[in-house]
Amino acid sequence: MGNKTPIDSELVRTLAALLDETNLTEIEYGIGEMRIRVARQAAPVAMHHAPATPGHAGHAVAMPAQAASDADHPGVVTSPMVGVAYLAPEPGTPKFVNPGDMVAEGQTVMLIEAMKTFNPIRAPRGGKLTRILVTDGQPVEFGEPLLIIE
Amino acid sequence: MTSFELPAPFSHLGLNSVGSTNDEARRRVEDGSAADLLVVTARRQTAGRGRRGRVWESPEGNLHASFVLRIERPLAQAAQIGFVAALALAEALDELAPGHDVRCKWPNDVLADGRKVAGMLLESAGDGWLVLGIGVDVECRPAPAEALYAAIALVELGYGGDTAGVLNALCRSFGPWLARWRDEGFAPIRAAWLGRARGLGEAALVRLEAETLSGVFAGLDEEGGLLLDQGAAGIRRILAGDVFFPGL
Repeated sequence: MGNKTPIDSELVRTLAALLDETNLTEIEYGIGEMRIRVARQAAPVAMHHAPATPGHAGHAVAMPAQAASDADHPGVVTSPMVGVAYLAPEPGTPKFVNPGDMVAEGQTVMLIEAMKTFNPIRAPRGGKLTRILVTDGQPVEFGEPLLIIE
Repeated sequence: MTSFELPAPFSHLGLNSVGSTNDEARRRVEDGSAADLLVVTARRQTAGRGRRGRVWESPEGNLHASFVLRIERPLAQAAQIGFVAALALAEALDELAPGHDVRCKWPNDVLADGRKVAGMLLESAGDGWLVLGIGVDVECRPAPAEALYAAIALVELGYGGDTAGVLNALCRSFGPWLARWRDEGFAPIRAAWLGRARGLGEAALVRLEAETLSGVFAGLDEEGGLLLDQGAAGIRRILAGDVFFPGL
């Protein structure tokens, strides 16, 4: 699938209805290379391999503009690799950083593991960490927005 | 342990006691004093680490080594070094303790007769550098209650040498495999690794941070991810987790 994949609003609507009906917090659906995740949390729709475009208004699923603005945000830090993101050095230890923290350039802000190889993600610049866009233990794709430093 | 000559192209820095050889190697990368193919060893580690903060018991008599490696490929491919090293260690064990069934277990464990003899922890360090930590249970192994997987030490396999003998054998097999990975990429490594993989085609459990998945260990993808065949649910690609083979 190329970058011009049109959003299938009917599909998103169906998934949203299913989300309500089943009381789930998240549904991920894949066709070929494209995946659509519909969730109730802060960044409810993440489109992989396709730009997010606004869906229908008034529902939890209707916030893809949020996901799009994260990816386009000038302060976004994206994942250099596919893997699993960890927000703390070890289970049960404090997170590397929290929203609101001032971070220094080069400071480790999270880890991404692939095949028992741990890659510290370092702040590319100093500033205020305003948001963390992934949860601890979450699988991430190449280029996926991880956090925002302003 | 003082520094000694290692088979080319490796160089050696031997220390007595250190928190973690990985941390020591990374410090040397960061301050610019470590070159590609430096191997840092210590007689004992006071803060040996495994995956996700697990303690790695590091008494004297076992091998604690960290390889500093320059990685000229994208970060995502650095993890393939774990497969290169596991393959090399499996070959070294064939030589050090012949007559045992030595297999590789995803992602980078090495088993002898079904029991774990070594652990690895890979950490990227700065731009284009990787630290590969390898702990080999030469004389001692953890008590069953403290180990996630059943363990065995090399002495129990009939090995009569010391840690230097293990490191030398490892370097002799790792050198050529590493050169092959650098020249040809992952394909030849993947093929050789699968040739001695533990549990291929068998039922497997994969424990993730928040859930445990079951399926059949169907193979490796082109990057080294584990392919877990979940039947009607499809094939799931696993990049991080603890793998168990309940039927073996």
